[in-house]
Amino acid sequence: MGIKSLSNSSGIVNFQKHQSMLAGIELNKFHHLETVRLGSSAASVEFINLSQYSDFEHLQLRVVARTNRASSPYGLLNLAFNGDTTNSYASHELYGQPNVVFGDNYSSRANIRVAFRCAGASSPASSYGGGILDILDFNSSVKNTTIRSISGGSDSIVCINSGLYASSDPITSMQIGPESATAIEAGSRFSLYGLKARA
Amino acid sequence: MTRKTTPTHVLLNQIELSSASSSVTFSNIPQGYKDLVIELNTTGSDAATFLYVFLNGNSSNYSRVFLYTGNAIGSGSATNAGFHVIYSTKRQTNTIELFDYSVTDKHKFLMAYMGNANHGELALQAVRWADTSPVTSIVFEAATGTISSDSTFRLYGVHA
Repeated sequence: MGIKSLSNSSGIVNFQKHQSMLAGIELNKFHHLETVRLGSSAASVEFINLSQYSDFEHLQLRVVARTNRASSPYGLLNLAFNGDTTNSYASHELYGQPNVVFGDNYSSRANIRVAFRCAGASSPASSYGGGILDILDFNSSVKNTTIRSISGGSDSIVCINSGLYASSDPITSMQIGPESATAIEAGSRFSLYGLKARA
Repeated sequence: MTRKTTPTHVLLNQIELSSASSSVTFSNIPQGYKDLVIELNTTGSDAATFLYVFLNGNSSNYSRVFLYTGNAIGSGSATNAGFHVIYSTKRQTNTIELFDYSVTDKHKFLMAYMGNANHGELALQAVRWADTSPVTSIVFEAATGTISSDSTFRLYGVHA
């Protein structure tokens, strides 16, 4: 006789139900957690109470953004964790501009410099940049926190970045702010996702 | 505490070519997602060419900057030349992220990362399509030759 249904009364608990025959192998490990959409310009964007997402292994930010960085087609967004602005951060970037490839590193900084490139004030109207950033093992209390990102600024720059927060404290908040600019422009979006290591 | 969250990457369409074709199209793309992710796993009939990517079938108003390495590292930019990804007889993977594809107040911004280990090429590019129209279709068109029958195109919607 075939099994027609499963229930706790059958003595089976903690079984997983999957909508696909792939049974959890699919990409559906990403869960949307929060989104900040700027209806008007803002000096920074912050996500707080991230410990509520401790059932996820990693976090991912998907960003569409523009800053008011003057006379520049691209802007920069920096990232700090847990309100910590001591010199606990380092980062590397490799970027390409039209006909220029460049790499740089930044150490002993108050934030992860260039978590994202995005669009700047001299970008064409209605244009935004941004990218995708992964925060690995954000809830670990034994590992320093590392990030990686890919991003671009309109049609002027594209880059790959890595970053370090030299602290093993679990990440409970993060602050994103512009460099060489006073504001992140209206229309910018910051979507936070959690990634499960297991289904 | 267990919170209710929902998986956000939804497979909207998957095209596996059963015969060689000069183009592949995702049409009637649902508008209820925030971003789109397109995964390409392809081979083609020509050794070193590329696949054009046309949003809404439109071949103009693209600006892009790219970073690449093959035998040497380099970068470049192009405007109004179409937007394209790597394509050759060697198997390659391309992932295209299309942000805010359904809004009407933004130019469309994309990032594409692509690799072809056999062909010796790795690239990342940022693309702007200077058009505020919602994206309802995406066309992949071989610049020369055909896309081989063992190629797969997957389209995901991403909730936010």
